Amino acid sequence: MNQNILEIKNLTKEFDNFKLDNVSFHLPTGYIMGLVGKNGAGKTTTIKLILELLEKDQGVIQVFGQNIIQHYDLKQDIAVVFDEVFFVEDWKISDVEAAISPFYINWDTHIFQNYLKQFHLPTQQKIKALSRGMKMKLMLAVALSHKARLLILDEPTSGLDPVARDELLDILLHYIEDEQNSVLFSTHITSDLDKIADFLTILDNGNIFFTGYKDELFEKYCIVKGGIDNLNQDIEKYLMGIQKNSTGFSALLDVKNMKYMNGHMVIEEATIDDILIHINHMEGE
Amino acid sequence: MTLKNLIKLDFYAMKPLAKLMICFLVIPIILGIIVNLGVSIMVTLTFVVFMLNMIFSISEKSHFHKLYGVLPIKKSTSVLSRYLFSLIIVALTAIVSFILYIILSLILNGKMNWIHGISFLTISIVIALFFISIQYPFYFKFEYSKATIMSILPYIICFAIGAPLFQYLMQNNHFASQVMKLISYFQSHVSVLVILGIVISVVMVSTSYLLSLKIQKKEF
Repeated sequence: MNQNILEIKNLTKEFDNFKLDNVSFHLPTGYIMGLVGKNGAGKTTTIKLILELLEKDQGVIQVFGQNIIQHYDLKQDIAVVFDEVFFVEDWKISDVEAAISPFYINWDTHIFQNYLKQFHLPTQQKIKALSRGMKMKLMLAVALSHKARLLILDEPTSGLDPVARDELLDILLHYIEDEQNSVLFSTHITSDLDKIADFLTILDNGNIFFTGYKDELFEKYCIVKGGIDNLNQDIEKYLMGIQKNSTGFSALLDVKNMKYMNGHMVIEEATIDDILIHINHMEGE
Repeated sequence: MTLKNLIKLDFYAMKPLAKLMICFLVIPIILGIIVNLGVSIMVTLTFVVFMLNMIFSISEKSHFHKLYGVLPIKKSTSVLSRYLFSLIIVALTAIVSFILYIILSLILNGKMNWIHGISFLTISIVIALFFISIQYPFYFKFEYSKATIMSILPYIICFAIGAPLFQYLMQNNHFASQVMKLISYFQSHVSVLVILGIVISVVMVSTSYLLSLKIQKKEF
């Protein structure tokens, strides 16, 4: 069995004002990977390329060890939740199952009905009458009812209240319990990833800033803070994304360069948000 | 199976509009009684074709482009299924409107004029398929609102130039007599009209499908 459920090598796609440039990462079977980056970093483009919603310029996308372009049937084992529903607003929930289930060999009505009960979704309710949270739950119920091995989520938690987000995270943890399923989770609500992600891929303006174990990221980078007078050219060359204000500065630091900092500076553990914020400041440097 | 499921998906997508479409069928029936029974077939089919365009609006509003990316389907199948779905609807409407034609003929005239009925049915189907062939590549290329405007342009140009030109040419006695000869030929050879209609329809729809497919490959 292939160890990587998803493998992306040198993926490139160029638009008029944006380029996804040589993106490579892999998601091992049985894990959750967070795909993070600020708006416009290339998260949705990457997902669209995986799903062939966009045509790539270069690169290889392998799902379950096979090229998805030559094997569209692989999508039987892929489930996707986007940030918006792709069902007709006038459909009832029962219509959704009738329209979508015939496409999937492994569709299980019992699983779908169980999720509807669990999420308190009434089958006779029209989609347009559902709240955003309920729509997301419906998308998730559909995604999880055909026994897919790879679940791709594109910003599913934006607009959800904390309780609904927490429910979603529990479902994802339950989904990977059997170690055969994997999740690629694109979000900019990084606290969700702190809780559940094993791997992280950080995109910055179409380039990979980091990809690997989440813990490796925190072992590799830290945040350094200090007064403006602590800064000089020798120190600044080791700092990334320096953010200055009247009271001092903060910057991202590669842990291996910690020895170059002086005793007046404070070193703190970085959060994903800290890293994203400082990456954003790197653009001007 | 995939093709069948995609056609079914289009039927589901149009389901909320089904009642409205059936209600509107009353209009061509009234027209048939008041004006001409043959005209009622033509109006019914033309009306249905324009209602069919709504499928593109529904697909766009419902983000079906994302759904097609998620479902285990071959890219090109979604275009073929849309054409087949439309042809099925046109075929069903043609059958219903022809049955209505027969019933109304028997009620109003006490007899059935088969040549008149089949001629109108053939011409109506060709016109309906002509509309589909012209419009669908626009809908595959552009967003719904833009495509609606652009797909009407060929008809406006056609009527603005074609109608006055035809009127002008009909003033020429030789041209007018040739046109009348052609009409009377088809009236006495309905089978030729039907075969010609089938050939024209197949060419138009196939060309339109291939064009849409080419457009979709770039846009998908």
